[in-house]
Amino acid sequence: MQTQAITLFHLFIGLLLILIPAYILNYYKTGLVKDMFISVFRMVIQLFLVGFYLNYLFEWNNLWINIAWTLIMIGVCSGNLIKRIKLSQKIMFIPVYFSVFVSVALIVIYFLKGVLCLDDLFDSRYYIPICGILLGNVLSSSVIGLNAFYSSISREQQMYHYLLGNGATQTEAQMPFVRQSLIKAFNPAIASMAVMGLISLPGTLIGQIIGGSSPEISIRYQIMIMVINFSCSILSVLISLLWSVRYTFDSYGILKKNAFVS
Amino acid sequence: MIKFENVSFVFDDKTIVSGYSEHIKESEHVCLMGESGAGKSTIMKSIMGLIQPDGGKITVCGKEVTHADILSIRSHIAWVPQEVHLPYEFVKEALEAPFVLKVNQSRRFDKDQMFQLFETLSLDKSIYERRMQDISGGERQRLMIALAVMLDKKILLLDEPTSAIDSETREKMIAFLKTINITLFAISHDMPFALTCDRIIRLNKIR
Repeated sequence: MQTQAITLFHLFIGLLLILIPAYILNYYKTGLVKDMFISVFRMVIQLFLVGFYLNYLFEWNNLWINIAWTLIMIGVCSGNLIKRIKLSQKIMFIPVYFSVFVSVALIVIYFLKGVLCLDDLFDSRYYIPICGILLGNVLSSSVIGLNAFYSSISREQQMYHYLLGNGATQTEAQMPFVRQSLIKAFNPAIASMAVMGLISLPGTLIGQIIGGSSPEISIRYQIMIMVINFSCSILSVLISLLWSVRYTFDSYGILKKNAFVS
Repeated sequence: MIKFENVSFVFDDKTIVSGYSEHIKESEHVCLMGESGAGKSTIMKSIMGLIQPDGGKITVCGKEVTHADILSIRSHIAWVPQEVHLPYEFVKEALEAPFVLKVNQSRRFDKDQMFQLFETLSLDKSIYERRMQDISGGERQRLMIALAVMLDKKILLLDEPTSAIDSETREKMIAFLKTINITLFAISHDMPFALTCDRIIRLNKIR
C-alpha cells in the first residue's frame, strides 16, 4: 500500500476548513479569532520546519547528530516546563533536565532494544519519533504534576508545616502532596487507556494505518506507545519531583521563597 | 526545656520581635499572651524550626534549633495549631497515621488508652469512625491533644486551645492539661485558661 500524498494545493484546500471555526468564533465574539489564526500559522510553519529537519536527520542517520538532537530537545522541553509552572529556571533546570533525560533514556533503550530488538538503537527512523512522542507526553504530564505539587504545597502550607512540626521528615510531610500531584497528572491518562479503541482512535494508530501498516501491527505499536508514554511520564514526574525538592526546600524542610519567579 | 536567648525576627525590613529572652522549664505550663501581630505565632513556630530567627539562639531539649538537630527536636514536640486542614479523610487515619512516622515508630497505638483520653476530653467514642470534615474545630483540637499524649511527647504547643469549645468542655480540658506531665507552651487570649497555667508571658507589639 502506498500513502496518498497531499499536494501543497490540496493542503491549502484542507486548511480552508479553518474558516468554519473562525466564522463561529467571530460570530459569538469570543475574541479568539486572531489567536486561532496565529496558532494555525505557527503550527504550519513549525511542522514544515520539523519536516525539513527530520528529512535531514533520517538521511544522515548519524549517532552523534541524533544524540545532540535529543539533548537539545530535552533542554527545550525542560525550559518550557519550568516556565509554564512559574518556577525558577536557575534552581529547577538541572533537576528537571536530568529527570527527563534519565526517564526518556531508560524507556527508549527498553523499548527499542528489548521490544523492537533493533540492532541500531539510534536508528533515526525509530529513535527520533519515539523520543519526540515521549518528550511531548513528559512535558504535558510534568506541567500538571509539578504544578499540582508546588501550588498545593504553597497553598496548604499550614498542613505541610503541621506535619513537619509534629516530627515528620521532609519526605513524609511531602507524601500527601506527591500523591495528589500523581493523581492529578495521571488520572486522565489512566481513564483514556481504559476507553482506548472504544471511543477514541489515537493519532499514532491512524497515522500508521494511513502510512500503509496493517491494523494488526499498528495496534501493537499503539499499545506499546501508550505503555511507554505512561511509564516515561510517571518516571519523569516522580524523579523531577523528588529531585527538585532538594533544591527548592531548605535544610529545615521549608519551601524557599526564591523557588518561584514573581 | 525551651530557651530563647536574645531572639529577633524581622519580616520585610520590619522588626517583629527584638531581643526576646525566655526560659521555659521542664513540665512548666506557660501561656503566651499579646496583641495580634506581636509575634506570638512566630515564636511558637521558631521552636519547631519552621521560622528561623534573624538573631539570637533558641534551644529545645538541650539542643540548639539548627538544621542538624531539627528532626531530633521535632520528635519531642506535638503542635496543635488553631486551624489546620489535615491530609486524612477519616479521624481514625489522623490518629493512627502519626504512629507510622519514623520518629514515632517506637510508640504503639493503644486503642484503650485513646478511648480513655476521649472520655476525659469529652469526646464521644463514635468520633473515631467519623470523617474529618464532619468534626468541629474544637473536636479536632482535642483529638490532637489526645494524640500528643498517646505519642508521649515532651512538649505540647497549643495555639488558642479553648477558642472553639464551650465552657463546660473548656473546664474539662483545663483540668486534663493540669494532670499531664508535659511542658506546655500555649498561645491564648483566654484569661481563665491563662490563669490556670504556671506562668503568663506577655508579648508587646513593637511600634
